[in-house]
Amino acid sequence: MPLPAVRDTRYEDVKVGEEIPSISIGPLSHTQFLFIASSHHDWYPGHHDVEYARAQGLPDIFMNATWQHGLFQRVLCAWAGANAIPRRIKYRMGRPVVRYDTVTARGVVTGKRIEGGEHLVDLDIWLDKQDAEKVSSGSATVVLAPHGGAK
Amino acid sequence: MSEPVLETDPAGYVYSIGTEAEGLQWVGRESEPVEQPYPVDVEHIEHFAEGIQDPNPLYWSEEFGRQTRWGGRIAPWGVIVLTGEHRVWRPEWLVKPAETTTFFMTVPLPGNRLLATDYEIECFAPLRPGDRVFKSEKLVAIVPKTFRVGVGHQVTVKAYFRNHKGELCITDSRTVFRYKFGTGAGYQSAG
Repeated sequence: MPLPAVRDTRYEDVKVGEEIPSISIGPLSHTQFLFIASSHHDWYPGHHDVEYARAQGLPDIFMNATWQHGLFQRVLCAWAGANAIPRRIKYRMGRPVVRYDTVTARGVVTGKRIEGGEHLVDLDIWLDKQDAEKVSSGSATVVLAPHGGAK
Repeated sequence: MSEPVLETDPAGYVYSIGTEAEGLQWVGRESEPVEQPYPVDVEHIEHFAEGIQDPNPLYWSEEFGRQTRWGGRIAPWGVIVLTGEHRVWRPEWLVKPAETTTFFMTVPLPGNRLLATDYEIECFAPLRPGDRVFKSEKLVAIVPKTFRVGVGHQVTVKAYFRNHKGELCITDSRTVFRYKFGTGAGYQSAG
């Protein structure tokens, strides 16, 4: 396949209230939990050892916070384009992501503004599961590309 | 001053055990910047993106990156976790890297387990392959709390990540619930 073209969301085209394209991963197998623990060098036993997680009072092994942040960063960057940068991502983790869950990252634009010459877009963001139960939720600010264009 | 009481959990994390009053005296403390043991490299970036299944070409292609304002490949924020100490095994003769322990464990409190609850990450400039990363921390807050897993305190620490040029690239404020194992109602039964 050819290299993807550089694409950027234009500030002028962003509408308050619009939902950005969602991204789903799952169902998450035990193998994926082990791979993610390895790929993040996060060997906290609650992320890969079922007996340990349950002894902590949790229902099963649970996904780490860095993975959740990575998913938020992925959904924001996929929408905003290659020359944008997620300036701030803030979220609270509620229910744990456990084995066999399918997780979807979503976002809705709540505002847009120009500050200090930067084109900023604010969003509500959240992760939900296959049953629509929210896992984590929060907010984000993305700096769109200057003039909405490539280099 | 007496030596702190230390407890090690099954994951190998070492906690300084003390009272809430002792812990509150630490609020506001800042640590000196410490260079992380590993610089950012392409393998870190690809390995991290693989775990997220992130096809963003900025993480996979130098050629693509050159067509953007970044001028080359950049790293997703989370790659900073890969520049820190790796805990699984190292030869005994190897000199340990500089201390990278965090206030989450070193502040004296009753809790001997951790569970992350809140994150706020700010990115000011991307990290790139070859960047050496320097981390410092500030202990922001300690708040008593009870959750289903146990009784303890929410501890908020802000970490600052600078590259070798001294540029502030990322701040990472996270709140972790540090609780005493065995004091919780349990996730299921509290239903």
